[in-house]
Amino acid sequence: MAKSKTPELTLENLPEIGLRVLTSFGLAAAVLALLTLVTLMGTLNQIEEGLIDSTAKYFESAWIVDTVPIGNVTIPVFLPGGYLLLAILFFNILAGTILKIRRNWKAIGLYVSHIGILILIFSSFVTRHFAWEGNMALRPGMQSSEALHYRNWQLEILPIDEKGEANKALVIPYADLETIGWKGERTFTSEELPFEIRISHAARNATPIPVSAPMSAQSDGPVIEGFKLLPLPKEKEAERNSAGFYADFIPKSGGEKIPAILWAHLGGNFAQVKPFTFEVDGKKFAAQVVRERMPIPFTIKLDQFLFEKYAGVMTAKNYQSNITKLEDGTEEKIEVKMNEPFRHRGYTFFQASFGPPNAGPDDELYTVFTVWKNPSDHWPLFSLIVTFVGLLAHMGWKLAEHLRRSTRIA
Amino acid sequence: MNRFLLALLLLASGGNAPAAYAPWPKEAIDSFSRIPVLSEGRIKPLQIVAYYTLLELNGRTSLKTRIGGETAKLSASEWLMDAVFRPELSKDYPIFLVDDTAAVGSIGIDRAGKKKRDRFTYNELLPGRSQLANLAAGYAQKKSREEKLTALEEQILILGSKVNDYEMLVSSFSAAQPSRLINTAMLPPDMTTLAAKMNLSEFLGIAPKLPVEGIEAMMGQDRSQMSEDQRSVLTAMMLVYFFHKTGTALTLFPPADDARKEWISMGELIGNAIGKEKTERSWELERLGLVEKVAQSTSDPAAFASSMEALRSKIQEDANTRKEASQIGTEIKLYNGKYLDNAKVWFIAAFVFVVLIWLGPMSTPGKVFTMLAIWCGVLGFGSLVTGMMLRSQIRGWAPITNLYETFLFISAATFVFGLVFERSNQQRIALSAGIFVPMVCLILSGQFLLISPEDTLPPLVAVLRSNFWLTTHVITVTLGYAAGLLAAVTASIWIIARFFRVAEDRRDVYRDMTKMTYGIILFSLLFSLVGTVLGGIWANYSWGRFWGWDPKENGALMIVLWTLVILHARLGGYIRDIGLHAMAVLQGVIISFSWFGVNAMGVGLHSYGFIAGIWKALGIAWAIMAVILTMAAGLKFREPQSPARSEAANLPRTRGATAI
Repeated sequence: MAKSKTPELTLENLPEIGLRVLTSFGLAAAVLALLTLVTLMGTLNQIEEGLIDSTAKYFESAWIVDTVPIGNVTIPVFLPGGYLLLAILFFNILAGTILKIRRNWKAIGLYVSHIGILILIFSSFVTRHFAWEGNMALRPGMQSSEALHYRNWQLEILPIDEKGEANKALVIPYADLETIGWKGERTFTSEELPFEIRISHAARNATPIPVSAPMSAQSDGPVIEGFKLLPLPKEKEAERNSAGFYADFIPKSGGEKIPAILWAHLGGNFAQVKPFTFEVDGKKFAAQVVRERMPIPFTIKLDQFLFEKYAGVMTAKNYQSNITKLEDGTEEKIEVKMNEPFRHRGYTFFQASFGPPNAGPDDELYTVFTVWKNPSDHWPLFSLIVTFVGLLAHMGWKLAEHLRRSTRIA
Repeated sequence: MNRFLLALLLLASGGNAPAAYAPWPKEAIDSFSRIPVLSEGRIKPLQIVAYYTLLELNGRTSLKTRIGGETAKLSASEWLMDAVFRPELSKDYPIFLVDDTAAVGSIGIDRAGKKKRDRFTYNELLPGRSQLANLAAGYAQKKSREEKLTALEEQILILGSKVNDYEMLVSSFSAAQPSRLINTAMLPPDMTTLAAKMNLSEFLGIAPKLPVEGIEAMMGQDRSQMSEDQRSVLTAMMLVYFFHKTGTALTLFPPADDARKEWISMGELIGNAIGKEKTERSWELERLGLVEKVAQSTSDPAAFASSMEALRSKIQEDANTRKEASQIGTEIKLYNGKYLDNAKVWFIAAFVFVVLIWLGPMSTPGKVFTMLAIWCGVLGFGSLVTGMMLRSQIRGWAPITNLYETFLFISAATFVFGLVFERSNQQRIALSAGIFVPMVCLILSGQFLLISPEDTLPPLVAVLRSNFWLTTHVITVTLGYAAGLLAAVTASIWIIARFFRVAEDRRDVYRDMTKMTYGIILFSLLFSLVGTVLGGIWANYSWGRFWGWDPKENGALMIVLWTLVILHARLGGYIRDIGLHAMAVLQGVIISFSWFGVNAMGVGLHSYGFIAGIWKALGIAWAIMAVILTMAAGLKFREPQSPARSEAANLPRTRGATAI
């Protein structure tokens, strides 16, 4: 695109001016500088608020509205967030690549490297919106075909049959619960249930507390059977938060509402959840707050967990899970190690950790896999290859040109 | 008092004058240094344990002390030999460095004549030993409750830990020489009396089988109900129990059982021996006997040297059988060769010549100094790379696995970059920067050890055990750091020179410098970008996600982003020469934050690189950079530029296809 004089600011010229701004180096430089600043602030914020909250506030947000204490002064901050900045950068690079880079063989490296960066930014978008991350903990001999989310909780309503068993669960997902807040209220209903569920006083981290405890004064929630729900400060490690809220089960037939305090039991990897049980119109139900579940279309069985530590210290040298994949009546033996995950049908199992904590030498260990379902799993690798090839081609061409010029001068 | 009177008094005191220091035979020191020992998860020479223990206690890796009116300089191994085999002498060595001697005052010790930061001997601290232990235990509990300690409490806790570590280390050999206990006040008088004449091998040769639990049960019995003989047996068994419990700091003996990974300490050896029938103790008695021989021959240099070598040979032979301790010789070579110290000296010498070059860069002496600077740098580089290769050989991993090693690698890389850019630029700027950065990095590597006096070859955490990723991601991203730092230094030189109007008429030199800095920034971008994305891919294979906004990841990202800001601002014509150099200096601030700052934050997944106490050093570096940036601002104010005047006008401009 030939360089021409900047058009006057008139209505007709707006599209051209807009395009010039969008493809400009100035926009790229400004966005990159703001991204640097936001990255710095989001990094420092992790000391106070931990990784998850800082990521949400600085990197996954469209706008950052915050205050930053510097000495005794608190400075208000209003900045575009990482999400918005990356989106602008994406379109800046896209438009710049299409319209600004000269169309000849010499510029091929630039095209390719910019396309690589576009793939990278797009893959981060796909991960942000379509990836799911959870974990699966297994003891030797145990098998499972579902993973549990690290941080998200959901409310499950379980109709109980005559045998006292629950065969299905109706779920209120985390996304619907987290936005209610302590002051808010929302009512949920289902044709399959003879009652409505009114949720209020929702907190991401909370615990029930007897009204006799002095700290109960800090909660303005209602008292139910001598207990209140006490909202707690959010933990720095987000997976240690225990969500809680008040629930009223209101019979559609017009009977009296059944109030309850529901909260998540952290209780470790294999903790048994004790649900809240109640009866409406002579039918029994149970309600429980559990981690969000992701069903997996095959089964993983842990055959053996191997742990090796360095002699004389607690530093782990290696840990490995020997598993069997059970699918459609077939079995496959697989080893999952650190740096060697197992991938199958879009799901990836990583050797994340093991437990129990402070296990003795004779204690049976269990394994914990991080389970990911990410459509853009390998895109960063493609992006790297493309970007690297592009940079190499461009710098190689520049070097050849430099050498040619040097030879000519000589 | 005049010197004559003092001399007379000394003569009069005659036999009471302390004897001069009697050095250990060289062969004994050599054998002692080479004894393999399992410590902190890896097998290393005993010399290394001595080295880092002395560094932790004393803030130095050797010791100077006055003995018998003479100054003796002891290596770490000699100090440990003294501490173990001549405890009475070594208890007067000033080895406990205390940053604030108020900590010593708070345990009731007289601080008269001491400075605020000073060293104390064990004997000086001994009267306050129990109070120190009580206070330190209380503060440790406070810390475990995540309560903040005051600076004084922190100092007391550190001192308590140092004294405890010292006692435990010295006690590692006590079972073989019960008469040389470090602190007899630890034991009741009857045990001390027995210890003074006890030979543990002889005792274990006749003592009945009594597992440690049995001794504990005996200790719980009422002594008043025992006969005299029973009390004597109990005292002896309690002494065995004492050595079993206190002799655990050094795991010296490779076990006979191949399946067992942990080596055996002297304490465990004693516990194992007493828990067996006396006819089945030959394995333990053989090894205990070897240490006893060493301890009994301290007054006979030849016998001492040969018994020390016999002990070393036996341990090495046991280790060889298990196919372990094969790198002991290499590690001794690394430390005794002083490759890293020598590299530092060579780079300091090179820097002296660099300073001399600037008295007349293109004059004949200037050319001679240039050659000398290059050759000193090459020798420093050779020494550094040899040291890095030996470190790599010892562990079998790529040369960068921890924060300490980044100093070494960046030193080597910046020197090479400096030479490469000097070859095309030939203004002595790249050479100067390429010598200055390694010199500073190598000096900082020594300071880093003082902040974190720990083995710099620790075992690798599970996630890092991949030579593929260590050589691709870690080396690439560190090369990006190195190039970025080099650019920051060349940019600083440019700003300082312009600010002080050095060779003001030589616009061509400044123009070339700008071009070179720009080239180095491009270089930095290539490595930083590729290295950072490679890190993401590694994370995707290890932790299941490409990017997690972890502080270390963010640090690397900030370097890439800022480099891109510089390039795009330049391409758009928003910055010219002053702006380019100022932003390159800011790049140095970002690199130093990413290199150390994020590790000092204490949060995130890269816990294998955590360090504390680095903020002060970073603050100094940033203050210097702030001064340089202020100069750049002054320059901008003083010399408002037109594009035509700008040296950067020769750099790639914004029309059409441009350099990234």
